[in-house]
Amino acid sequence: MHTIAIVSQKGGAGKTTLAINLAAAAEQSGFTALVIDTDPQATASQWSAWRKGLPPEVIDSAPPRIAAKVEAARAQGARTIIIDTPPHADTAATRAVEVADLVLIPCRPSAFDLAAIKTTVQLVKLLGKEGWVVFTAGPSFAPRMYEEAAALIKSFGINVCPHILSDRAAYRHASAAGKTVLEFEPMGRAAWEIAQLHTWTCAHALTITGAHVGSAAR
Amino acid sequence: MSRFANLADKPVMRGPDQEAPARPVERPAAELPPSRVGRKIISGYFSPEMSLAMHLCARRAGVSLQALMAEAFNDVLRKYGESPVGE
Repeated sequence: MHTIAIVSQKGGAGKTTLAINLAAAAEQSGFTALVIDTDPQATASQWSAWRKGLPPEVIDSAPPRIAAKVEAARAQGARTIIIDTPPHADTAATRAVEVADLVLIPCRPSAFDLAAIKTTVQLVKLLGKEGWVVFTAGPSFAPRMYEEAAALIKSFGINVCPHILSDRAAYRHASAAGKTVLEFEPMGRAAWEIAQLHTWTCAHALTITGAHVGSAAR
Repeated sequence: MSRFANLADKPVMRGPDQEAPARPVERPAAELPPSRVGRKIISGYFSPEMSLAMHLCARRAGVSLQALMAEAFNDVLRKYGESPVGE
């Protein structure tokens, strides 16, 4: 049972794509997943409407109600809760990070995007949460470029997720069709990337929430 | 089917071939929230760092951003020899 905040002050980083597909991967693994859409543009909610009730479920939330909704959703059986946040929104991002066990910061591996995540990194660090940058929409094979981008991110004092979501048409086509990449192309590379990232987030969230339980017991 | 629809702020969006969601409660366009009646907006454009710092400061102090701004404005009024105005 864990809550993941997806935060990036930069637009177009792939927050909603990451949110809905991670939630779908959780559902596929047998966990009840819920996406809390705090973006006034309601992209995730629109995608959910196209799906006519198919899981993962998406609900909206104004920033002040995020914490209460996470608590209520847990009580109603949600195992994986993913909070999608809008860009340029300090209130929604702050509230989402506060309530999250794990924070994922999607970021394109480009100079402009890398420079723009500094504010997001600062927010995550100030709130004392574990944040990981996930590279999105970059080339699928460019080891040197990812090495350099990762070194820059580490110099900001934040971790880099070992899994990436690369620039693949499947993400765009699946979203436009109201599908997840796991439904659109179950054996495709995009589905594989999402499954890998999901497994990794579960393992990490477990260590974090497990540590909370341990410290509470002491 | 829907486990969490009770937690949504707005009625959950549905596809065109499904029943329409309940109509939202109608409110006259001119009606202001009570917190804004008889008040004026003061805003400004600041760096993302300033915005973030102010939001975090407000959260730490357990007050709204508006209350924190009022505190800052009253402090600056005192600094320049004016009387603080309050909220």
